[in-house]
Amino acid sequence: MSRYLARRGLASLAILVGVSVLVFAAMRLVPGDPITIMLGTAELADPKFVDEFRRSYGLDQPIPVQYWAWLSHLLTGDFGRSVVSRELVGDLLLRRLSATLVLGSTAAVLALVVGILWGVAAAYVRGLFGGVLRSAPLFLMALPSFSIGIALGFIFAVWLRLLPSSGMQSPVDGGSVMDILRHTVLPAVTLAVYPSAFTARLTQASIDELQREDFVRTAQASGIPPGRITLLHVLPNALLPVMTNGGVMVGYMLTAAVFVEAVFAWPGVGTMMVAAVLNRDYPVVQAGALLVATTFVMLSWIIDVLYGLVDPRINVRGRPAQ
Amino acid sequence: MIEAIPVGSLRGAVPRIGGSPWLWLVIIVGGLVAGWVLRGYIAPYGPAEVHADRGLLPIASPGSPLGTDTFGRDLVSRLLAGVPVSIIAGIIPAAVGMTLGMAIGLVSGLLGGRVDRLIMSLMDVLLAFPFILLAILAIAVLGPSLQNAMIAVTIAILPRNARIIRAEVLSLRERDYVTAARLAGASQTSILWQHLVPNVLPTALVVGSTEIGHMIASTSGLSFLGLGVQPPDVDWGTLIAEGSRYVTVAPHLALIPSVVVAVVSLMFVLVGDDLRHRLSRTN
Amino acid sequence: MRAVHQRMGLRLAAILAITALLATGCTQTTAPAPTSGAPAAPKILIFGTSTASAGGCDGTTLVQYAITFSCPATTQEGLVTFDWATNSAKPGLAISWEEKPDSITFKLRSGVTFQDGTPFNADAVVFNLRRVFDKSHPQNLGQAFPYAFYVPFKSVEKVDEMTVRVSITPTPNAVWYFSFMATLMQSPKAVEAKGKDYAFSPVGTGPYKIVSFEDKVRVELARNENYWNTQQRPAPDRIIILIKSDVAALANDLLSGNIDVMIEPPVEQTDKMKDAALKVEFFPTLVYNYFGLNTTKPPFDDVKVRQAVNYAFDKEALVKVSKGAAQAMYGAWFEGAYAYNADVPQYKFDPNKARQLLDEAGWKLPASGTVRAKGGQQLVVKFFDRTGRTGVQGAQVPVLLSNLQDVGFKVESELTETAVYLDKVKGVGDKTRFNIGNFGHGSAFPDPQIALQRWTSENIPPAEFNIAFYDSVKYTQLVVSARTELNVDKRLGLLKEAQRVLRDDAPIIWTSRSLIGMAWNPKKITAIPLLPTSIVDLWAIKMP
Repeated sequence: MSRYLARRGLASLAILVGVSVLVFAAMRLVPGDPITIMLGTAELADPKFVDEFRRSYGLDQPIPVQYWAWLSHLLTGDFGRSVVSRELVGDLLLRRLSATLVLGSTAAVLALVVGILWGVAAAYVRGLFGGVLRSAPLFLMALPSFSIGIALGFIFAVWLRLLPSSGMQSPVDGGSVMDILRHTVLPAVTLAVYPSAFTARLTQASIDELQREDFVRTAQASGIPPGRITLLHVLPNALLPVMTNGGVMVGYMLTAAVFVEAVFAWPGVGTMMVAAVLNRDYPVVQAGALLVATTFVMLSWIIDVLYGLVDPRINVRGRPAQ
Repeated sequence: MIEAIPVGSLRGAVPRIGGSPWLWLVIIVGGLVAGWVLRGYIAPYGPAEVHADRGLLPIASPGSPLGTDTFGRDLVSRLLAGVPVSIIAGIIPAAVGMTLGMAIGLVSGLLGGRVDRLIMSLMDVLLAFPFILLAILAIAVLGPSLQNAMIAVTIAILPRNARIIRAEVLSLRERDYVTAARLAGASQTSILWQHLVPNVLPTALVVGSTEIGHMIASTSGLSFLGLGVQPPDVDWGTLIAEGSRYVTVAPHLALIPSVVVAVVSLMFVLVGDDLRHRLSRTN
Repeated sequence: MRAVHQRMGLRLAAILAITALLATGCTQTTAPAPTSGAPAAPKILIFGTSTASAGGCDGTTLVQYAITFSCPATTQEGLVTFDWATNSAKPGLAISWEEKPDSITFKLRSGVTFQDGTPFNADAVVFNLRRVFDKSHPQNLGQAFPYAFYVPFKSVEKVDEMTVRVSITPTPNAVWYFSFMATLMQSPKAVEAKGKDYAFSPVGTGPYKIVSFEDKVRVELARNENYWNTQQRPAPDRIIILIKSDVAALANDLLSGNIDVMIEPPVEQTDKMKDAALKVEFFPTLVYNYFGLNTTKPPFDDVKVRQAVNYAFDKEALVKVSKGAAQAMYGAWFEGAYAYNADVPQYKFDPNKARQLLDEAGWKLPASGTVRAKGGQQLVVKFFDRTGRTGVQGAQVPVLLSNLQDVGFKVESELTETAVYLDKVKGVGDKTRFNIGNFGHGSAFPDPQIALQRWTSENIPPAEFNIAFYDSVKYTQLVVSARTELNVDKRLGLLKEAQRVLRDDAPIIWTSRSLIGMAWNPKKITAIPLLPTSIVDLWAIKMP
């Protein structure tokens, strides 16, 4: 197990290095650099001046030299300063990451709870309502997340005025837990729509399948009450696929969050990254990409290990047993 | 916005909404395409025509049944003008992404060993690479356009497709008939073409058609961020993005194209799922 | 020398256009100092904006200024202030000055302290000017003072405790430069203590101090209770600047009462805002919008085609869809402004005239089809822009595309991100890249010199931004002569003639003059006007 963990860790590290090299090279190969953008929008175009500015940021060095400088600073915990805002990238990232985590974790909890309950209901409820419960997720999954956000914002913030329409806290004296919670509701619900619909379908499909399995039939035949069968036998097994797909869901949350952040002016990592790429703010893009990649790699790792622990049929090397 | 649904996850859960999903697909997509062909008759105003005196007409206005935006551009006309763009933006990336994914997955799964590890690590790097960053980078290099947005979403979907196909190949490789062929001295190429390709094709077809819907939504997502289709062309994502600015005044401008995107991509998902059902029954 | 002079002029224009100038004393209305009595509830002003300056709040190091509530202009002050009403310098932290061709001697205001208690005196001025201009100064940040090199500064010396003498390179109106952001005074103690992070919590002498600064998210300012000017002070006690890149989100905030005022309300919402009893007002700027026609490449190398598109563009439609944020502009200069040539025939919207001109130029409509052609070649033009345009500059695009299609053009758009836009505008290595491009520019003075100068041959890219590549010897001569002409009448004649030449050659489609909208809640704010630089006139804010 420990050898496996070490090997897995090494592989993860390799992926992260790969991502960082790719981002670094890509950012410098795409046309446009932060200095021209920054000075150009201020209509400062004197080539001599631009060159001097570029030199002062070390952008005149060959790319490998720049990469090495960045990496060696990174190892000491120094992410550098944003070219545009001159802020320490570490501080910026920390602030943005906490906003993203607030949104992401709320949405994740929401998606799991709602999704599982919905899935169970869809599996057992019959009739027209059952049909609606079964088909609604498909439709919800096809709705673009930004559309959902716009609609929810319109209904609850503009029309009913129940919840704030955007931002993470009130402009004046905001920042209390309640205040942030109120601001989190709409974006978190928006972000949770797709994963909860997905979880609902997954849960329902697994239950449907398990109902046909021998051990459930045996249990039914031996007179165990249906509620007990569901709770003790069906549900735990039905939740396995929900867990394995956690990685996919996390991936979704990371990318879809950009749209939700854009709609609700949520100060998260996603919109920061978009702005940073558009401004070619190299240090921010590099650190941000590394952060997202690390989150992704770590979460998929945790999910694999957890899955191995829960389901003995799968060995921890992550390969399904035949 | 690659909304990835693992293939196995839709198991038997597709509701029977009455009639074959193919029929619905033909009715809805066919209807839209027919509407596009006949757009000159259906919508009297061109999609890019500005009429300052017809700005922000409500639903059911004469000449503009779905209303107009601030520029007085007719929504029906704009929706129809977006039909080919948006549907192509779904089909091409799904098809290309699947073909490339299949090629990579087959090679990786068949050769195994170092090659496999190398290819799969590369795919992992791509997978760990934030999609939106990838898309913006691709678009930064190539310039924002429909075509490049399609390239971006294709790249983004590639690693997942390659992984699915590779997994399929790995399990096929262990099947008796493949082992038998190998023992009988069949070359790698002949195993590839005779046994592997025909057997992964159904999976590829199913995953590919399921992805069409997501590709439509993804490309419109890029247009929403201003990185996709550029004016005077329109796609549904652009319409949603533009409409979202009027949400307090005329919410239907954003909501109608959203529903169109949702319904069309839903149809493709259903058809993909139906395809899988049929294929799994014949196997 | 002339070239240098002209460059300085351009730079000056650029700076003035983008610099927040302190408007002390420029305006009539300021809140009276509080009289003793029951303490009133603090007046909080919550200001929403979609654009933010980049790089903190230290005026000396800021690179990008935004059309907004300016953080540096509220917290820091310069030696003088620029008065837009009279186009002259007024006392700021200096109460008087004596100008000589190669030096200015400033007499400093006494009894002023920085917000951290550091006294403002000759030593502080010497410290500040050397920090910005003298590369050997320990607190000089090298290239971090982007606008420093515009200022004709040579050296500074302390004359006595409250007097400094600044040596300059001889420049007309040199004293104006000491109102610029690059010369805003910072507390020497704070600069030394905070190092590289100084920009995020700068300490000036201004009427407000920074409570918190979160880049591109939120800035909070509170009244500086020790402000030197006890006679008058701006109305708000606290100012909160909320930055959200999405104007629709800000509009929702305003409608739901989260913020008190927003700048540049989305045009499609202004009617709704008025219905909701919000006040919407537009303030004229010196910003004009236009489409540049690439005169080096067919079809726009033909003057008839250029004139045709000028007739084809419907400016009144643009004004209508902009709902108050644009005024139609029919020439290179603002109608009715100084030196405006009213005798030049205007390009009023006339699509039939446009079609006729295109026919004359040989671009004929085929028997069937909507796209004109000449010699087997279709009338296809490449439209060039950057993504993410908003406001009038965004609104004029659909109007143009529609109008061009209407008279028989086929338009292909190429949009790029801002990152590559500027290189492409200048056509680095390739001036044939586009046929028609979307641009806008701010003038700084109520004088057309700078605006007209842009289209001279000497400003063809990559030197400057003559993006029509308009290369007319006659026009260039007229404008260049006007630059040095001291006889007022003669100069007016030159400038007016230049406008006529420009109109006939039509290298540009002038579309509109921008107005910047402000929407506010009248229960919270009575008045909040903008300066022509599009920055809030702090001293003219009125609150009930």
